[in-house]
Amino acid sequence: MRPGAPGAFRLGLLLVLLVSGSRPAAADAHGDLTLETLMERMGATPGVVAEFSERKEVALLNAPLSVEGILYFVPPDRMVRRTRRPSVSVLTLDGERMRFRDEAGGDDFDLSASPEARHFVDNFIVLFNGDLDGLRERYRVDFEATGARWRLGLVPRRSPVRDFIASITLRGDGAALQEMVMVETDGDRTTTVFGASDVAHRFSPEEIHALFSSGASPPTGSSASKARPDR
Amino acid sequence: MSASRLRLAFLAAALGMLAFCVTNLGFSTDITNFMPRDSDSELAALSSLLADSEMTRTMVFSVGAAEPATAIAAARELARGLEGHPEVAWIRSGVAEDQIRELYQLYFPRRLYFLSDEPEMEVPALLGDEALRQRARDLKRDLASPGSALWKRSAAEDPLAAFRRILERFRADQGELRLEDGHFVSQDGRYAIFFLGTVSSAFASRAQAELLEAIEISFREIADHHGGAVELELSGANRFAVDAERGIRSDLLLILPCTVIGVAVLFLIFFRSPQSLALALIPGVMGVLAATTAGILVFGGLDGLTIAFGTSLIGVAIDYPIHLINHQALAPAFESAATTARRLRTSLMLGALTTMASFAGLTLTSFPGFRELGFFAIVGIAVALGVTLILLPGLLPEGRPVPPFSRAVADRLGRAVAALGSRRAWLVLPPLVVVGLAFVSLPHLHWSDDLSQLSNLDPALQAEEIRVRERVSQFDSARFAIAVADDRSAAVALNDRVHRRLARAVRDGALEGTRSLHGLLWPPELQRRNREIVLSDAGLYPRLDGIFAEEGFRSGAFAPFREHLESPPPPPLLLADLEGSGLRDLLMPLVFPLGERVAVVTYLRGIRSAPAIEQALDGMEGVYLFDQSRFINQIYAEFRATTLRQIVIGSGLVILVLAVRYRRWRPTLAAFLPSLLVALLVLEIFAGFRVEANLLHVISLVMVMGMGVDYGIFMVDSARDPETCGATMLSLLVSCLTTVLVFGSLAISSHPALRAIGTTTGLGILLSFLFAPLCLVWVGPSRRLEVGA
Repeated sequence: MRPGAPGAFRLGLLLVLLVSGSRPAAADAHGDLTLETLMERMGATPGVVAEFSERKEVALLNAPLSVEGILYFVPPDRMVRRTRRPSVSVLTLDGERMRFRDEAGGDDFDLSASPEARHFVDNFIVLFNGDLDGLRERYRVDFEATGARWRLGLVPRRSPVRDFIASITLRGDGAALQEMVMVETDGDRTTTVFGASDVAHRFSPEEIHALFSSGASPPTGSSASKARPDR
Repeated sequence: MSASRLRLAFLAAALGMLAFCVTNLGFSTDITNFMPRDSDSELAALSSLLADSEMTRTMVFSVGAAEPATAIAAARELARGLEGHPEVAWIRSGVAEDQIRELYQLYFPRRLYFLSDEPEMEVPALLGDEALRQRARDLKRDLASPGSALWKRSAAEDPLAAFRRILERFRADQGELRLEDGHFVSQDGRYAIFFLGTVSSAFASRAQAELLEAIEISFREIADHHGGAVELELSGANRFAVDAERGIRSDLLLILPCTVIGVAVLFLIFFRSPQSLALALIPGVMGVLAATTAGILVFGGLDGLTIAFGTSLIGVAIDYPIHLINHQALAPAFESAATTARRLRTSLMLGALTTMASFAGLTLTSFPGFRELGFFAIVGIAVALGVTLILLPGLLPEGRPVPPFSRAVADRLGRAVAALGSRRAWLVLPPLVVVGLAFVSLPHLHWSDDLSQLSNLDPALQAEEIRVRERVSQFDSARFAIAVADDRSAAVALNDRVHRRLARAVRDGALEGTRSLHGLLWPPELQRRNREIVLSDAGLYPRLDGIFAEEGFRSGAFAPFREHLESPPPPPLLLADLEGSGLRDLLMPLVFPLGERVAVVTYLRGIRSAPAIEQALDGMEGVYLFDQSRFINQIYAEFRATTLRQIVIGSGLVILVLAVRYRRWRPTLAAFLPSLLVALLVLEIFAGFRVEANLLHVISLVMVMGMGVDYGIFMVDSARDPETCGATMLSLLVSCLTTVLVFGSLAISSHPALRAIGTTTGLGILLSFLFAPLCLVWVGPSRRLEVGA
């Protein structure tokens, strides 16, 4: 049992915000972006491919861990997170099913077995659907924007998400999501910075098959890796 | 008591019994009725208890759909719909959130208790420098994974990943099923699976039929709701029990009219009187009513086979009124029915007594079903005889003319028997041939003790059963190891020894794998040994801290682990702890009470060598490799042999009764020999036609011999007065044809057991009629026998 629910949650959150940042931001009367506009844009993309790098500051370790990888998002509810450093791993969210594979374990691990993981996915789905009421029900939301620059702060209200995550802060500039900082309840912090991304990617059936069909998403060598973000 | 009051009393009794039977009769097709009780063999008792254990009371539901989410949704709806049904004891559809929490609460504090089931060998290796270094690297990799938030919380307290080993063992123990959205699904994800335990035995046909109907109705609504895009398949012993009962019911609906019509036609031919038929049926009907009533009162209910077989007793009991009616009608001078009854009373009573004696042996067996059958027959025959002798004479019309056809048949039969007397030398031949043939053919008679041949399982149900079972588990449902002990702790300890031996068998290739309680629980002593070996490594924490620091971990980060080592140990995990927790569902298929004792089952997968497994478990008291079908077949083989012995003993008793009655060896043998020759000849015919004889053939032979002796008795007794020989032969002919009709009807049953009874009895009775006069002529000294009564 490899609980990866917080990771899945983070993955979903990232993609939602990548999508929301993929269009020119609508502005309020003062010319600032509103949360409503941000949420409305969710799910409108045909697909996303984005490179990311994470810096994980973990109390157990002397030095931060660096993780690099690539995200794939296929609307409405499918995504893959592949890492290539420090080790190869694949986290797949396919509808209600989640799987995680890494170099150590040859078999798919079905994360959806865990009801707790289900909570994380439900929290993500709220964001994904652009359900602002649902988002506010689950999080204390703090949104601010100054011109094109914006910041979205989320504090989970419910267990088990709030047992693990103290806060999430996302920052963007106009159409681009630049950074996400997730602070866990034990003080550990993960900072994700986004690099090149293709936020209007149209996945071919072959790419989707390679990404999501059972047994077709090994940690390395998939044809889906051909889908790269524009640089 | 006046005749009218007597009639009223019988009528009231009949109506009372009928009302009682209609309101109280619930018959089962419980296989345990045909398993031995009170047996000295623990395995026999075990088999009987297992047949009505949690194992047979569990149904498996498989809901299929193109989309797994649809299948899960439909399965959840179905489970919700069935939850309140009075026949549903429990439903298990997945691992609930609180179960995971309870798993953590129970096992995490005891994680060092469950490091290894061979701690002396494995724990030192786990604590070695290289193992710790590898563990540090693995943990670092985990921290970089998406699941790091959960793992790192326990990492400081559990750097050895002891709890993770427990979870992996736990997960491996879940078998082929996986979880999706907290619900069991098949490996291919196409079928949502859940389990349902029934309140009643799987063989309580009425309760199970109601449950199956409720399932069907519920699912039909759900399928409609999903546009027919979902399918339900089931597995469960109750489905076969209900199907068998339906089969027997529909057979009876077919057989009874055939029997009634056949007997009616026969009576119209020989008596030209529907009234005679009605009167002749009264003793049999009263006998069946009384036997059913007594059976319900004594046993609380009757098995389906007992009722089917017992109802056929009408065919036996009808012989008594046939004799009475024929002898009265064919009496040389006018004779009242009461006088005829008095004249025949001794013969009828002797005939009934020997028939009852032949069934008495069944009541002494340890098989409840056969005890029921024997009891039913004895009560039914006794009552039928009583009604014939007490009630019937008052109902028979005086001076009823004999139909010319019947008189002609009686005359011809009487003359034929007389004619046979002049050819006695030749008549020695048939019996000699039968006996001689026995030496040649009986060694080739093939006995089948395969119980499955006695049932008529629907191939479609069987195929569905296999499909569903395969989706749930690759473990063999009919063969498993079982450890039985006096209490829980002894059972857990014994199971652990079983696990060790079977683990060796897996390593040796005798089987592919096992599913055992060992995946959840070890004996307290083994738990303590694990922790003691860890604590015996005094320098473990500083060494671990140093190695982990070299791999990039902060020194002192694992202080909670040191605190855990230094803290007082929690009590070992006991079976009672699991039973009292939310994890009790996981124990259901593994642990259950067996009478006063506790049984722990180990399921086996991919058995390649049963003898090797038997050898692996050899010498363990209370441990069995249980092969259900092989074991039951062994029981039946033993019982068949016992029944054959009982036939020999019963025959001896019958000869004794006859000897007491006749006080001469010639009439004694004359009355008995037809039944013996018939039994031999029937078996010879089976051998000649390569019919596989089984237990029910043997049981039926008991009845054939009982009736065959009756025929012999009537022949012998009619010899006292040769004038009545024609009437006796006519009575025997009508009785024989009636019985052949009744049992011939059973032979058309789709149920192999009823078919076996029908063919054996029909053939046997026909032969009994043919042999009765032969033996009289052969054995008798002259046309007139001197009888000592």
